[in-house]
Amino acid sequence: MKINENFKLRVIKDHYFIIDSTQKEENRVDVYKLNEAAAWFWSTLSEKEFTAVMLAECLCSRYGITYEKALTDVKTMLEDWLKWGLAE
Amino acid sequence: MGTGRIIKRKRIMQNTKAYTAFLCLLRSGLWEKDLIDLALFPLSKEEWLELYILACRQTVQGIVYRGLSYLPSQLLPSEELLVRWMVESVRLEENNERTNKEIIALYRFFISSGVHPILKKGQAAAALYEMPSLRVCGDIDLYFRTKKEYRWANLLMEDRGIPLHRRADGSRDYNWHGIEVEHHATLVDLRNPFLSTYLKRLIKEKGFDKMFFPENSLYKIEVPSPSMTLLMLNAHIMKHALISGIGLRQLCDIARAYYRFSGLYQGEELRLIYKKTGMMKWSRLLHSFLTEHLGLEKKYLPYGEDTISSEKLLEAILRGGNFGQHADDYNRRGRGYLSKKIYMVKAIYRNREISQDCAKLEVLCWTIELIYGQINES
Repeated sequence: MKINENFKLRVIKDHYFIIDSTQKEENRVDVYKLNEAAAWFWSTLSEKEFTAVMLAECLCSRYGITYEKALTDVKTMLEDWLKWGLAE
Repeated sequence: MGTGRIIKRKRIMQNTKAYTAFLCLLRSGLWEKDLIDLALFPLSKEEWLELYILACRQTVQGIVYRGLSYLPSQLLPSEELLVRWMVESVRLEENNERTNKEIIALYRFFISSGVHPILKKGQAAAALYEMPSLRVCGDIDLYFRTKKEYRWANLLMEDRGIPLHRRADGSRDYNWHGIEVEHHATLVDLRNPFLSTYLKRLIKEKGFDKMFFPENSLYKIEVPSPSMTLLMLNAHIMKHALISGIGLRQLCDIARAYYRFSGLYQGEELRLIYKKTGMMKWSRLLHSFLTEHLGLEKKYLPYGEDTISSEKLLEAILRGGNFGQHADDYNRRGRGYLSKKIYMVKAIYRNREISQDCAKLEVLCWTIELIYGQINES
């Protein structure tokens, strides 16, 4: 799986958003709000292939949570990303 | 109508909180430094919106956006406005990327045809910023060293079926893949005919430099040398401040240029150039503005001088916005050639307080050229 490079991450303090840069309409742009962990993934995954297992392992070491919990969270996140076209 | 204008101007000046906060964020974004006055915050929703509109009018929304990152989280604008600003920042990046690609395409085209353009202002000025992609990009300005090259470049475009338009100052413009491109036969916007020989000699002597463009690429383009860039930017700002109106983006450009070129040119030499070109008084006003309102440290100015009040210049900037496009009567001006000329003469009159103090001769030359240009056309 790879992230969709057409979406640009924007961070100001604890506000994390990804913005669809392909939409040119003045009044319609898709914007997605991320939490800190998802934004961290997004910023480190650019142009890289990844799997749910890889991300879950990263989440465990970064946040000190159990592997099972991490894998469940990552799978839920990736389902959303695929559904919204943020990953492919 | 007159009363309306006065009320509007007073409204801009009186809302000091949104305006002061705007300048504070602008400085922060311009120099990538902490805010000088956090006590101005928090702002109300209305004040934030006013600040955002002010930033857009002055085409510095990308620089102010950078300034936001120096605010504590709890003092940021509403998520709604923050997202709007973020979307705008993505658009700015894309526009810059697209413009840079087209500049390279133009260069390749011209060079393959034996013409060597110099990139004036615009994206060359953007390269002076910490984050060039957040500067609002305008048109592409190309200067040609000789009249022969200039005419040849115009012909090459016409040969491709691209219609060229004559501008009020004699330069030509056209649309290149959706971007406005201007061809110039003059590098420095000074019209005093007695300076013509001096400027030609100066340009030949100081010349041009090559720079990687964009910064992280291996492609090189030609730009004016540091001292010529400073003279060119300064004269350009003076022309617009005295004639059609000027926005803060152009003032940010020269502030960044003074900062980035520090040590790369001789300050005393630039002082003599300003003196010779009759720009000393104007430059004093400009330098006062840059230090007082944009936070440029005095040590980056080319030479020492006493500061003066720059309130008149500030008022002209707030009145006109980007190249005077937000002046009260800008949208009411006629579309015809003559209407545009009349509008410009009126604008010159409106800015007389600055020109009388700083650059009478240059304004006189510009006015004559405008009138002469009209006679020549009709």
